Amino acid sequence: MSPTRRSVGLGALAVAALSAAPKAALAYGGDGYSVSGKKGPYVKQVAGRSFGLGGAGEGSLGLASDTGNLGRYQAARLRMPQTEAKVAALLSQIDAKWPYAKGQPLQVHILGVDYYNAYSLPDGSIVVAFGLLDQAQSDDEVAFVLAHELGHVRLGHFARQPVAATRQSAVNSAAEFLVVSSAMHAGGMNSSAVAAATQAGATTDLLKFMTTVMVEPDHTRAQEDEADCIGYDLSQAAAFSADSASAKVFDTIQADQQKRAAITDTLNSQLKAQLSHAITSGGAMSLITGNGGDLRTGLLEGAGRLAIGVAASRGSEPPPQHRPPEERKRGMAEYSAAAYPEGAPLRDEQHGWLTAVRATNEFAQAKLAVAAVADTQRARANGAYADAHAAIQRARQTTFRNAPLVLNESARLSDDMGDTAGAERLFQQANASPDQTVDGYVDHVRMLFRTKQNDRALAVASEGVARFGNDDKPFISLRIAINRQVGRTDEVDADLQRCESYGNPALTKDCQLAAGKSAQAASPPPPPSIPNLPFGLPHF
Amino acid sequence: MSRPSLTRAALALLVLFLVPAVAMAAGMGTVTKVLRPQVHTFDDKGQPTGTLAAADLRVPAPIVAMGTGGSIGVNHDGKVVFLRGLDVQTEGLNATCKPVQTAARSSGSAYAATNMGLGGPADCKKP
Repeated sequence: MSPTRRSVGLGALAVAALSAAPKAALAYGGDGYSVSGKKGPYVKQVAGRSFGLGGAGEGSLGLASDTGNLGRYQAARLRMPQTEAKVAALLSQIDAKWPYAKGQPLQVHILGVDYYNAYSLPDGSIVVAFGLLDQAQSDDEVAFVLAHELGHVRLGHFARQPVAATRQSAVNSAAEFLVVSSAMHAGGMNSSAVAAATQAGATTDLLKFMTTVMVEPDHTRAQEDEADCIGYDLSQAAAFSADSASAKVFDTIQADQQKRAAITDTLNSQLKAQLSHAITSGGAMSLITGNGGDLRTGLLEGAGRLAIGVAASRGSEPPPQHRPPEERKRGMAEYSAAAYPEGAPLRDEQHGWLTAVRATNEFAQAKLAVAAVADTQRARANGAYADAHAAIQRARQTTFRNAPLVLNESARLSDDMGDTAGAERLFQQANASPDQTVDGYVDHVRMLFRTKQNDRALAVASEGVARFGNDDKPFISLRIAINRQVGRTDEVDADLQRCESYGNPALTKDCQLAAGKSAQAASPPPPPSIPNLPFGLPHF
Repeated sequence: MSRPSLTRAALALLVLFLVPAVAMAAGMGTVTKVLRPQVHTFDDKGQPTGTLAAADLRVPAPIVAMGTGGSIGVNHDGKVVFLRGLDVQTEGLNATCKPVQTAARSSGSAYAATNMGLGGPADCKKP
């Protein structure tokens, strides 16, 4: 970067930080670095601040009672007691350096995804993607990431923000619902259209998974800057190499985002091709409403929203609350130079903790399971069912065979392959697990609806609503469709009214489509605006 | 001018030219830019030893050693001082790169070489 570009970048950085949060004005580097005019490590500058010390459900404006804000309900969770204990011990070592009162007890959860990432939740959960533990090159990297997330929790960042729309996913929407609905009425469709629709459903499943599995309530950019500084301070205080580790973390995030951006781009193109084939083949879509034109419009709108979701998750377009990784790395270098005027000691990065984490059979089994599920998802989206079957069998041979991550994917594959009874058994098994996810329930209901087991579908939907904090938003469009399918118009109208009352445009559109209210569904969608998307964004 | 003093001068000159050349030959690369007006210096164990004004370090400066925490050793005032990798830009560091770091730098980046971030694929050892 040329000096001119660098100074422009730093200037923009400072302006952005100042405009983002006047009360916590943080500008990295040199004379501009201060919080309320103070100098020194950021963890000392925040002395005297109120951190919102309430426990779950209190002091966080009630956020913790929302399903999406509880670590135990996160999608793709893998129970790894040995690994969780090691991460908790590392976290505790870092937390010991927090010099103020500690409101929230901390919990650790592992997600079975290969992302290099982590996030925190209002209930004090630190949710760590398996990929972080698998890809990190040193203990110090993991320590820096944990310290960053701990910063969000300890600084009470959840206490000041509005309720997040976490997991009110725009991609759990018309595209997914209608594509699979088209397959449901496959009687009049030719086989290639059915295959395209089924594959489009699987592609949508994967895109949805990729864009929603690592989300948390949005933080402001100023809060992310604060967490970076606290991450540096605490990991350095806990005798880790904050300088080199933070730089590697930001580099790896960049590589991880680039990799995922390439995958989502490919999937997005694939979905469009599959949708196009499903829509144009035989005109069978009109079987659902008798109005193929409206349905086509709705379907394409849904696909459009999905594409926006994909764009928001792209590494080249980082979440708005985050600076680009390169900028964060530069910012950390500026921050640490200014915050530690005497110089913070440099340390070699260590590997003993990671080596111990990776040495367990639990870790080895999880690595196999995570990779096998990812392979299954990709193969399903490509319609390569033999490959998908082989991959899911690999997952089912691990000790994680009864995890909903494996069971749900296995059920979806069985459903795609026409084994509805097998899928039903697997979904039921997943529902019996304490870790079953909202998505698992939704997909189960979807399958029952498609196979016209309407009463059973409504019962499973009710079970799902009750299980996840009586929040019916993930199920309401399906419930409308089921009641419409059996001719219960009063229930359809009541649910539609209820759905519209939530004030979520994407959800409203899904409900209108499910209810056959095509005139409203066909109205032009609002211009895409990533900050207003009704779902969270990948974190760290 | 006596013959012995001429030899000493020649030797000194030789050392002046040879040390950087040896360093380059060893594949340690050079510091091409100091990224802040003033940077911290460290000893080879990573302990802070003071600060150095960027203007006082003549660049490109051959890298003569690697220290604790990926710090970069350069000659300054007749001794080796170590700088944070994040405070300098390097070229030809010839580091052992992890695939992820190479991927992150696929389009190249002029900022912060060394094992902390790498300047770009060119700073990685050739297979």
